[in-house]
Amino acid sequence: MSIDKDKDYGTPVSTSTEMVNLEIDGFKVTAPAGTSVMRAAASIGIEIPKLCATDSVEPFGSCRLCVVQVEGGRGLPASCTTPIWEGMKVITQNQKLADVRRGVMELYISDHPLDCLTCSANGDCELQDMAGAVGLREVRYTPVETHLGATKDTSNPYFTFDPSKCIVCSRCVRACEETQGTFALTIDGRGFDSKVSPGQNEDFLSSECVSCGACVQACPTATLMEKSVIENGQPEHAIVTTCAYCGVGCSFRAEMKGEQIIRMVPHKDGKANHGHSCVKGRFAFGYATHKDRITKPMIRASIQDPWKEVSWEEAINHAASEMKRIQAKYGKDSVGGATSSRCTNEEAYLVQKLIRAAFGNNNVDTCARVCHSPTGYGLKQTLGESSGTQDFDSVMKTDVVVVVGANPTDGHPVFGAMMKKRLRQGAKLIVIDPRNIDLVKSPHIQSDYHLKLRPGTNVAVINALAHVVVAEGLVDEAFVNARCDMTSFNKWRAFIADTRHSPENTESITGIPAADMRAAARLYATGGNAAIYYGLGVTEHSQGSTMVIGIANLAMATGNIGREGVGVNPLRGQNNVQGSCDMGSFPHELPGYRHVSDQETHELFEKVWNATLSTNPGLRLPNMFDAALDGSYKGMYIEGEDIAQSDPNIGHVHAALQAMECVIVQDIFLNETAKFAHVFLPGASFLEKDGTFTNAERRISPVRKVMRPLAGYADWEVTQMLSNALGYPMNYSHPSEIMDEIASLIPTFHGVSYAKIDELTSVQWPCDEAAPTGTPIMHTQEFMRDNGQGLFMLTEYVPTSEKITPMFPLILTTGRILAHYNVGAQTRRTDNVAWHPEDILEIHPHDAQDRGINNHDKVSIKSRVGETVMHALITERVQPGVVYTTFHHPESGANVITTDNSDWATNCPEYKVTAVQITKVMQQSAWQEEYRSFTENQLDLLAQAANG
Amino acid sequence: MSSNIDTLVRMANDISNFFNADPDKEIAAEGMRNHLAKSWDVRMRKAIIAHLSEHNGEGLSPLAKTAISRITA
Repeated sequence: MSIDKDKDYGTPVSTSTEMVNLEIDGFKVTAPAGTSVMRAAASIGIEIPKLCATDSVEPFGSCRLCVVQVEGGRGLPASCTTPIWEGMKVITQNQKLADVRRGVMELYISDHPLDCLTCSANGDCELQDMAGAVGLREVRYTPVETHLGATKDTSNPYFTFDPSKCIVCSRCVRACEETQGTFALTIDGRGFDSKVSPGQNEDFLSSECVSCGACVQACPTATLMEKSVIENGQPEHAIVTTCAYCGVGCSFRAEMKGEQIIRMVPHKDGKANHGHSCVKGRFAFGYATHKDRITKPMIRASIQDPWKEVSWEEAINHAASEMKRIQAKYGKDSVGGATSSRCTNEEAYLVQKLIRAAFGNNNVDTCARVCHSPTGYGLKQTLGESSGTQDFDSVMKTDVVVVVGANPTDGHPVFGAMMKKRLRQGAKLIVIDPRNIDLVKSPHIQSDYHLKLRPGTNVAVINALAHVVVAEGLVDEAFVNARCDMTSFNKWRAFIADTRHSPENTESITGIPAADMRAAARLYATGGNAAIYYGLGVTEHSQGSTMVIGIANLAMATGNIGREGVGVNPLRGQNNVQGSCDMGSFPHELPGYRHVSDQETHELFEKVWNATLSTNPGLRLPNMFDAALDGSYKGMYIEGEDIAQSDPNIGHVHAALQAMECVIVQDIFLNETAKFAHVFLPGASFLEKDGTFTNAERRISPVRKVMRPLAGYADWEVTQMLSNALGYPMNYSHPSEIMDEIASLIPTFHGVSYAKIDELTSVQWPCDEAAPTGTPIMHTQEFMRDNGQGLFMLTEYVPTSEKITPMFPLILTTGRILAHYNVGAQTRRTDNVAWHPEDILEIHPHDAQDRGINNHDKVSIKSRVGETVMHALITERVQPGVVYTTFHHPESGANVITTDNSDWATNCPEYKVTAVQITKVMQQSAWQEEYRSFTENQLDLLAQAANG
Repeated sequence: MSSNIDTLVRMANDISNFFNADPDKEIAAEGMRNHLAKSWDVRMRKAIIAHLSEHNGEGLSPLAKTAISRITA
């Protein structure tokens, strides 16, 4: 192991296919047209000194350190801004160039602190390196004025800005603009007064900065420096792994000192993130070693009892005996479990295998139930596979970007930054969202159409768009004829052509002006490559699956599928939503999305697993809760999932958990669900185990152990121990063996192995004999349905039964925010709370005024199922009649108010539509008081375990 | 499952609302039957079948009744 850095070629790669031949220092070089001299030289190992150039941003040509001589050319051009040409002859080193470079460095160093030995960047400073490279031995100048006394900005929790060390190379400013697209930084002043400034001379924390880390990454000195490096010194080795936050699945170098993480640095070779990161993945890793981590197994007879720390053997045997006791008493189907999208593929696979083979039923579900289960259903039905169709890079070939019910700049920030880059290049943008998300208007981006629909009317919107396509003759007839099931298409065409779906007739339902709807439909159908990106604003509705089907219908009807730049792209919420679903976490499907009753599949799994498997679909999570309250479901094994906070109507969920006789929770913290548990098995963070995650673009990426598990075992080992104690043997010695089994059982994984992943750095399934290096774009020749044809389905709009009334006149919709991740169990235990210490209710000024509500007032949010209290934020981000909040803090109780309404096909909860009333109050809700008391009691019972 | 029968009736009606879009009611009923058979746990199917036979499917849509009459537990 070593700390070998990613090579910096100085300027970005050229994608030109035209090749150019030149000579550098007498060596022949061939490189794509458009390549800089600096990059061409670097490609053959000739490193031209540089300071303002780095290959993550466009060249700038300001430092003059990279000057070269070109035969036949005048002067000394900057190699970073000079493109290569055929026959060019370049000299990178001679006395004249050395003199110029040394003079440049002398000027830089004359206004730079000479504290290298005590500087946090010592050993990792490009200025230091360049001083050495040019042979600087003295500084002859005695400056009258310097920046050495400039005040350091330490406001950001994760990095400092020390202007005394700034060389004003603008790499940070350009990274903020080009890589992240936030434009939070600027160069303020001119000449000697030039300085990097966040916003309007604000500190970093108060500015528009989103703490993505791109500026820190780009900085060549200690000016922008991670506080963890300042505190602990430079790392000594690095291991490439995959972020455990959102569904983008960024690749990171975990830079270590022994088993201590010093920093997480986005990996340039990461095919999902290309060296970029967000505040969560880059900085919010401190939870992994937080004092709240539980590292000892615990058991108790009832949730009123104190926890008792026990050995692993005792905990595992107790858990197994309880499950066996329950099954003996109440029947085989009285227990089940849940996998988690936060765990690896291998772990999800083992948990569902344990449930199916050791418990002997199919009562397994996963958190995708409450987010993207409609994606699985809708895309499987229409396109033939439960996944998105593109890779992330595809967006760079898109002409019309459609964002539906998603907020990529908050939920999927690194992909959001890529999307913004494409939009700044000129792609058109249609946003379909009830709120003014950042994409609607942000620096250098303005949506062409913002279809600000009423929550709950998605299907009416997608039908209206499709109606325009059909009624105005915009169907791609050639594509449909060649690729789709024509019987279903003709039926759909007749259905959607009915004028009840027209923009004019649906305007009163959706709230969208018909003219805008028509114009947006025309743009989507005729504007070139059009791609739809959608999120939970599509799926978390009573018609979530219908909407997914409607999106697929529209994409097929316009031929926007099967090539780069187009497609249907679900933006998965958590890191391994796609993977946990692939691994058979749904109660009706075995790994690879094959029904439990499918005879051939059933026989295959029975043979390989050497077990008798049920052919009956099992219970979904909400069905498990209902069955628990009915007395037919008594025990549950929950790995890495926090259903007591994340699921809707949590009063109902809490009652169900309390009705069970044995709840086994495997997690890194005593999360909300664990407060209802009888057995606690300490889990391992993503840093403590090997495995793989599969991101939203079907990319299987490596998760690599960088430290030993704090509790002694990786999660897959714990599941294996439990299975063995239950009497179903598992004997894997490494997760690679689990992946080998997965690859043998799932046809689209037949070509996947750890060796393949290591070789390619990641691989997108399907990866099989036909596509040995994976499949970036799906459905290019035919759809993955049995007959190879895309299926159109009818999508009648059915209004939700959750109606507004005088008693509940507003619609609450919920979502997430950049700083936090899902239930916040991880990010709340990091300094990300600096940006979002509590969940806030967003309310429109008109609605606030009607109720006498001012900013920061405490307000009650009351629905038909519950009531909670939050502080109000008055904002025009929401439209009149709509309020919005997040669910990252358990004490906020956002899911106390959400209802049992759910998607017809999958029971994905309707988080996005809850009728509520908002009133100004002075105190917390009764539920919050109960929650506070319950939590205090549970923490006391936990403390007794540690003390006992 | 008696205390949950209201939930099951609501779920069944929601499913029927989707399949009811098909003008061919035989296809609609078969689509819904297949959906129930492939996604509902045995105890849920038993409960809804019992509700249909013992309470004449009170609260169920006509399409839901037809589809449920075709499933087995």
